[in-house]
Amino acid sequence: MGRPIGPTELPVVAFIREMSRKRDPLAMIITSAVLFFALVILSLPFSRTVQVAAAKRFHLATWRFGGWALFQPLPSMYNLENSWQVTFTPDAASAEAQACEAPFRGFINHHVFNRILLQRAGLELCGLPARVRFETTYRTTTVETDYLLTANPGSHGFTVVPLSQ
Amino acid sequence: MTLAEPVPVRNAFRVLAGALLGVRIGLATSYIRAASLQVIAPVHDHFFPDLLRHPATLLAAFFAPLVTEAMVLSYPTRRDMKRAAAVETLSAAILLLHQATYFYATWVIVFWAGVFMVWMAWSAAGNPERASAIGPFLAQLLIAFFFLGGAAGKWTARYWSGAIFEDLFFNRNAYSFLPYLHQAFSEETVHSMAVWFSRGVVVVETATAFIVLLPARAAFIVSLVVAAGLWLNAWDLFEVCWPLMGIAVAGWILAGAKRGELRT
Repeated sequence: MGRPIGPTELPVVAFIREMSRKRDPLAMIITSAVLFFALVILSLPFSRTVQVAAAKRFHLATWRFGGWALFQPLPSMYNLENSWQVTFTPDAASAEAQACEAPFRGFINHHVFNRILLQRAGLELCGLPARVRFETTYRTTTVETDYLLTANPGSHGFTVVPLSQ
Repeated sequence: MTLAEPVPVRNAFRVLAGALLGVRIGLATSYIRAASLQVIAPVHDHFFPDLLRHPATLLAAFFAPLVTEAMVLSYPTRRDMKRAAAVETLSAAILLLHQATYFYATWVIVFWAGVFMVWMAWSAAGNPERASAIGPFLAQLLIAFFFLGGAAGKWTARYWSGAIFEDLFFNRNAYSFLPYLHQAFSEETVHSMAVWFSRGVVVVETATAFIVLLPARAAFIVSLVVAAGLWLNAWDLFEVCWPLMGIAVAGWILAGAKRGELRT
């Protein structure tokens, strides 16, 4: 049996001691995965490539679904500087123009594409087709992505197509 | 049925499962609404496969763990724990890939909480001393990891200047008391509060990433205080804070596993 953690022993020391005494493959896999993702996070301030990839991951642009899925366990809370702006087709609007201003511009959370999903009712009311521009900045790196929203024929909802990546 | 699992491991598992069950119950109606919205106003996009846009996938992944979480709340066997851990992790993984939920930090934290439960069920349940030697570190590592992910993305000028949080939290957040500060204070004072709030978030998140190096008791107290602070700022963040608190308490319980009591 292993030696349990002492009242004053640091958990990181107890972990290393226990792993050198007898490997725990599951704990090893978890720790390795966390360290891999942590290295990706720590490279963000230093690598323009990582900054562009991070922004495009949140824009759902360029990334293939499989690769994107592998990075979904990477934690992020209010990351990067993100904003959006929507240009509607006013003739097709069923909402007042005033209601179609403030909710569709300004700073947003890093998962920028979720604005299209969470504000779908408002977007539909304010006049489709609409052009959505997402802009993400991290230090000196800026990424922009444009989407076109067109109404679903005969039903609510819409279709989203990337215009630039 | 055997109840021969070490008491601290079982208790740690129950606490974490209870926290996740609480989150699921708290979110249930909003997820039924989200699934209804997927039916009424579907968004067809270029990215998500059909199955991962389907409302049935969303409901199945969200509600399936309710049963297995409830089953481990009292005297779970190791088999119950394994089942609950596997379902929890798989369900969170699906929700992390579903069009309607992929963007919630909740499922990132629940996914890793599920992975921690997998470790408890498979590796720690039969070995209380290993649970005590490894469990607290894993819990601290995960919490530090979450905060590192939050902090690194905020090491920018507009978070330090307060501009982003002033707009998102102080001007238009329906779940926070912060917009109400405009009724009690001048614009200048609220702006100043927003600047220091934002800097505080950047500093606290960055500092919390170092809890992996602290003694267990200190690390878990810091984690609980920081999670409670997050929850205080926006009450809808319970869905992120409760799993965080669950991991912290589970780690704390495992740190005491050496005193532990193989009694059942």
